[in-house]
Amino acid sequence: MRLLVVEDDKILAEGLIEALTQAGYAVDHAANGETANAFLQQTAYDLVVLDLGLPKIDGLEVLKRLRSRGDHAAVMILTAQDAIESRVKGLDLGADDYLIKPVNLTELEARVRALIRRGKMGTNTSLVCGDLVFNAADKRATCGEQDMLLSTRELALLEILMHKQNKVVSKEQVLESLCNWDDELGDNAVEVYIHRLRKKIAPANVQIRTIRGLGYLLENAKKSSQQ
Amino acid sequence: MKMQKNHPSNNDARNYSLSGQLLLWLMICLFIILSISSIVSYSRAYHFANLAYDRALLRVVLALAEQVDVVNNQVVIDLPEIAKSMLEYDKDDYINYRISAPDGSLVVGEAGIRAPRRPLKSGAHLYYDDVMDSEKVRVVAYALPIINSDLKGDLLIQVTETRTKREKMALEIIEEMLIPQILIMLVTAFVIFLSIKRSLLPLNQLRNSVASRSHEDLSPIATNSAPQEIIPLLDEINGLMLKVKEGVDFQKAFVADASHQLRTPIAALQNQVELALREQVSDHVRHTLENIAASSHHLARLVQQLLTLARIEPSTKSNYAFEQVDLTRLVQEVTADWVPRALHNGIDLGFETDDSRALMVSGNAFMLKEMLSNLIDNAIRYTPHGGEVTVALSHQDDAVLLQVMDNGIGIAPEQRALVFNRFYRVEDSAGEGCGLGLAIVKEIVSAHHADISIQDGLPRHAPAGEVLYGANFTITFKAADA
Repeated sequence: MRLLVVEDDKILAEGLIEALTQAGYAVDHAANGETANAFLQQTAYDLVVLDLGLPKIDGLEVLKRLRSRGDHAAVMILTAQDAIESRVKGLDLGADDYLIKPVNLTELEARVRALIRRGKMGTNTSLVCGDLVFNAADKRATCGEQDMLLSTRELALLEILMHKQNKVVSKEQVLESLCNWDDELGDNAVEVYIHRLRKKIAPANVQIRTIRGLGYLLENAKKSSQQ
Repeated sequence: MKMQKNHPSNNDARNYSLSGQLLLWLMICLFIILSISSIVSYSRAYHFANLAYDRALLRVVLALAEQVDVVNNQVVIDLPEIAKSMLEYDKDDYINYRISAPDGSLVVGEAGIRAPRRPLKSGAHLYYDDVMDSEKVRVVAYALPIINSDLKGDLLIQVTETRTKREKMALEIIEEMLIPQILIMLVTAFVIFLSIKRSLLPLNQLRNSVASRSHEDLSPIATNSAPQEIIPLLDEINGLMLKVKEGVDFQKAFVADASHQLRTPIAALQNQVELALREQVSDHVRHTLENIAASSHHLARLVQQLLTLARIEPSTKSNYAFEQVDLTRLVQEVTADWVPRALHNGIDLGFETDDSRALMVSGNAFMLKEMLSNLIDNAIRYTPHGGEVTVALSHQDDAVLLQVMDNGIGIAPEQRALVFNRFYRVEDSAGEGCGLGLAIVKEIVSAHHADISIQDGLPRHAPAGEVLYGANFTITFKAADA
């Protein structure tokens, strides 16, 4: 895996390079847009961490030229520009992610991993939480080597919770996912399904929290108990 | 920062009213014009009336002249007693006569009547004013030529009349004329007063529109409906406002730019500390590094909030548009976004509403999200592990209440007014707030013409057994008509 960090701040670049090197990537550095553009023309990188405010050639211009050459390298913009317009512009020009400085290194590494994985396998990935693995393609939930015995409705519910793990899934969203099979479901039914699913997935170290007035949240039970 | 809206009452004596001045000067001019016109018309009317009385008096003289004859060089007057009494009788005035011989000697009549100051040509008559027995009289003198006689020269016939009926008539004329004149003047004054009021109406409207402005609204005053006369003044004021706005904008842009520029070095600092913390270091170094990490996080947050504050302040170039916002949905989304943070801190964050309908307010979604985020962030920071934070929406008459309640350390009543000040921090508070969150909240609340207040929040049982209360921030919006 070859990565390019385009960042004009020397110390920030050094930190990013060190972290990414520790994570096992081969990392090059370009301190301005011109160098970055030259590097990108010579080498096929898997991922580019791109600052926007760059000397010589602006980061967005670097991105534009990269995409106009038909290069599909994953691009992660890392910038101080947090205005929505700038974010939209970056994503429209073909950036895959948009992060605002300062960013936690652990989060940066996770996002780099996600982008590279996406580039490799497309979007067809298994969702993992705790010991639970959910395969979206064949709608199968496994714990370790064992298949979990879940009904289609429970699988639909699990899918939406897995997709948004560690985030709140509203009751309406839960209802929508269930309504594909049965359109006569009330709030009560949601609670019933949640209750059943909760019991069935508990052995996989996954828990579904009820968030007052908002909905449900799926998380790794081990992680939350550590805190 | 707030400007005093009180009128400078000590200056009132020196300030004058434009409408008062206009009215005063117009009335003075009107008075002068009406006075002159009164005097002119009075004197004309009096002149013609006088003329009529003079002619009547002349007829008396001519009638008297008919009766005068010269026989044997003796002036003879054949005046019957009745004619004499008729001549001398008048309802108002006393009439006297005198006939003088050519040498000036009295022939008959009142001796007290003096001769006219200048001699008369033969056959001519003259009217003039004189004084007789210290009374003003009107005199007609007539020079009657003597014919068919040796006596040469003219007989002078004079008739005097006191002025009572002439003065009476003058008074009548004055009365007749003055009353309509005064009425005209009053009506005109009223009309002028009304038209001044009406003409100055745009000034009042302008005053009201300026008075109702926020002290932070530096947009130019609209000149399209203003009267021509004050447009130059408005242009000057608008020019000044523009300069002030440029200055304010420059400062805000500077804060925003500075915040942007600070982000990169802060990011570098944070990342370096993170990398250092991954190394095997002594506990002492680890502790120091953790402190640096905490400080750099604090710094990052401060910069972020400075930037937010610079952005949301009114009269900046990036003014946010207001629209109908579904507050229920917005609050649910923002609260849901904070759930992972709350869970991480072991806090039960939830949402409550008493109304199943979507509550609509007029506002800007970005600002409202920022406001609620700051309130929830604040509540989580000041609520210990195991605590509770509840975001509630309710509907009261035509108001929408948004509450963020916690059972954390709470805010003492005497500090509740102060916490919205920039960089104010509750003394020895455990949270790592930087003192701008609530200032941002306050700015956004006032931009939405809403109110914010702090009450006692949710109860918490202290170890000693007593019940303590957290904080409750209540924001009252005017409900938008959906």
